[in-house]
Amino acid sequence: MAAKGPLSPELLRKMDAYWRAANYLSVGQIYLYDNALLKEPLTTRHIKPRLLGHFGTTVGLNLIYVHLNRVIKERDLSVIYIAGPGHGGPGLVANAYLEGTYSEVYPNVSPDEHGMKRLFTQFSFPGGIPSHVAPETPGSIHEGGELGYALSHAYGAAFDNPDLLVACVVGDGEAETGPTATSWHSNKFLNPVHDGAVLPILHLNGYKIAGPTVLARISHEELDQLFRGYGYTPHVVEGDDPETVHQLLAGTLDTVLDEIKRIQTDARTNGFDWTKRPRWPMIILRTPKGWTGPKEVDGKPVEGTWRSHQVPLSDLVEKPGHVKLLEQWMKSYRPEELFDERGRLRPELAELAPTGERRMSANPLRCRAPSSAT
Amino acid sequence: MQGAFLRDVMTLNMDGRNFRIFGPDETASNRWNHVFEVTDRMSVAEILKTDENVSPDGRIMEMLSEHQMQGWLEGYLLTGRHGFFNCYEAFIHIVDSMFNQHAKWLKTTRHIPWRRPLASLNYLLSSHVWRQDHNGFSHQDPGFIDHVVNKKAEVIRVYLPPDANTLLSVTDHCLRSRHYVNVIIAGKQPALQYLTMDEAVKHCTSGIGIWEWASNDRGGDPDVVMACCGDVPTLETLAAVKLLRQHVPGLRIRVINVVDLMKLQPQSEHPHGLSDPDFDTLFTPDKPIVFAFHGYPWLIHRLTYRRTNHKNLHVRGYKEEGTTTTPFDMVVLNDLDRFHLVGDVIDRVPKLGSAMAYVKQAIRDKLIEHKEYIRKHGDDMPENREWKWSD
Repeated sequence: MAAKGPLSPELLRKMDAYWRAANYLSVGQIYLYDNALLKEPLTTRHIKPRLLGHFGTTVGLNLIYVHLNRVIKERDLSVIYIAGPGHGGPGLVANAYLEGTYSEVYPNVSPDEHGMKRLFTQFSFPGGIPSHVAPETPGSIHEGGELGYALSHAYGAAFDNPDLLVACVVGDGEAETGPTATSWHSNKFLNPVHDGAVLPILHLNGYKIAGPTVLARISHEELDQLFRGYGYTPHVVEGDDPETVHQLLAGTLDTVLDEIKRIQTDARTNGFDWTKRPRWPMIILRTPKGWTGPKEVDGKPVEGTWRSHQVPLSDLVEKPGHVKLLEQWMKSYRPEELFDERGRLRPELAELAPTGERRMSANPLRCRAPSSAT
Repeated sequence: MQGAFLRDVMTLNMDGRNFRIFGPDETASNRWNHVFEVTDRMSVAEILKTDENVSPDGRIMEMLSEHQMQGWLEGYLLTGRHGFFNCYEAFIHIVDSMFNQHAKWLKTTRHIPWRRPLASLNYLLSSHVWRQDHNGFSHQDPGFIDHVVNKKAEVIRVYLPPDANTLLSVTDHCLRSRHYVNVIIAGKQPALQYLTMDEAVKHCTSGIGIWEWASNDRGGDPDVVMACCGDVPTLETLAAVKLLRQHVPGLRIRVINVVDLMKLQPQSEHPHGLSDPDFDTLFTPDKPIVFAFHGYPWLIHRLTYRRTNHKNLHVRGYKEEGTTTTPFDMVVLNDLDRFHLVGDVIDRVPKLGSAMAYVKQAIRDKLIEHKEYIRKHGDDMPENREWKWSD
């Protein structure tokens, strides 16, 4: 039965494909040295000698990205994306590449097979780029190396930027830190008349590096009360079936953006009154860690567990079976549907992304020159 | 004074909405009250009739979380705006690692051509180690700058202005600067004024210099160099110079004040660093140096260990002694007071010898009198408390 929601079957299919493209590019960055489009059977000589990166959080970051792209286009929004789990660097790099910004900034990483090979090779590689959402990443103002500061950065960016929406992903690991605990209170310092909006997206994938997270192991009721106590209205999106989650997330984003618009219009028309301080919406997104990755490796569950935090498959030289698993995994994204023979993103998918400065990776705020102080 | 300056910066940028002040709860206690003439503390939560200077349109961001202040300010700067963070010196350590991350961001982005420079992250640490007579030991820690100087020289600057005019000059410079972390340390208590505004601008632009009006070695080599960095050490050094003039009239003293701490590092390590010839001319290649420093003394050794005259450098600073006591006793506890500095000079200038026994005894007596007085009266002796430089 088809999942219900605001996305037409056609749009749902395309958005899912765009998400798969970002996931494919993310896995490619972590693993591949060559054979970017998997035109040849995968062998160890196509694989990097040292596998350095984090897959577990990346798929969720990619999911949020493609859904934000839809609402940016539909509503002509100015949005920046702050990835609290900055170790999901491959995802943000993949998205900047898919929407063209990456090749504009780094022309040698061109939007074709050759550029894709470079994109893959350079990641976490000597002379290449770091593993996190580092300053080298177009669109980033937040590396997310040391955890805890995503949400306070998001509010700092929103102050005095009335037309800006800051989408801020807070991981459930980061959510255990003191600085994040205090930063939820930022909503008592945001004036909807002349400040922009922050949309916190708490991403619960359940695990840190090797252990469970606190917020994933309390009841739904307790979690809901916690964030109501902080003054937010939480909207939960939960699931592990892609179609269902796509529809739920799309519907929820429509709801929360309508609410943000209502809060801003009300305050900007009628003035701000603290007795009617708004309860800003937030999203709690609960999806499996390492979603869409290998379900099981060497007889142990990987998808949906802490084992997918970094590289779900390792020891590829010693274990030829793992090379096969990696190939199956990457092919499960069906790259031939996503990229043409020359490695270019298919036009029907490319058109899902916003253009120009509406792209989150090209929002001018990310590197706006400071105005001169008088 | 700085509060009035920031008030005017705030006013001039009110329409641009691009300048905010951040601090845990210290805008008032750090004597920046003037800014409340033009704006308020920001809050969109409940405001009571008894609150002062709180409104939903305020541009002063206060929440008792250094993490939150640092994070908001970074987000604000990273998107092209300007700000100032005021904090207790001891408690800015709470954000040591956030500072690290921001300094790394600045270092990396400096070399990414498509990223434009950001406004600098400016700290004012004003409730500092030497003025915690009311709070005591738990509120004393000047170590943030030890931490800051670990970071790349191209992104960090540390200033210790000795008086109000130098503080204004440094503040002006920091607000105009780009892509640095600027740390300014200056006490909030009314302090002595040494330099006119013109002199202050020159002194701050040089970052380090001889205070000729306090020195008496012109025309020859000094017998001793008395260097100072920070408002309280500068006061104690000047008071020590006066005592030496009185007790050791023939002694030739050169007084050097350091505003820009990074002047001490070699030029090869920091763009502000003095060249070796300049350093040797100022500090001499072979004369004793008694250096009174605001913070932990080893920081000065760390910055100067390669200088020619390092073996003759004797640094006084905070050595982790403190309690709730009088302001002057705080410096005495750490051997940074004028009497200890006089003793240090006597011990280190070879020609002074045993003739100085009487002077040493006199300063020992002064310290005993000080201790007895404060235990009886609960305040410093007027001669210590009210000391002023006079020509």
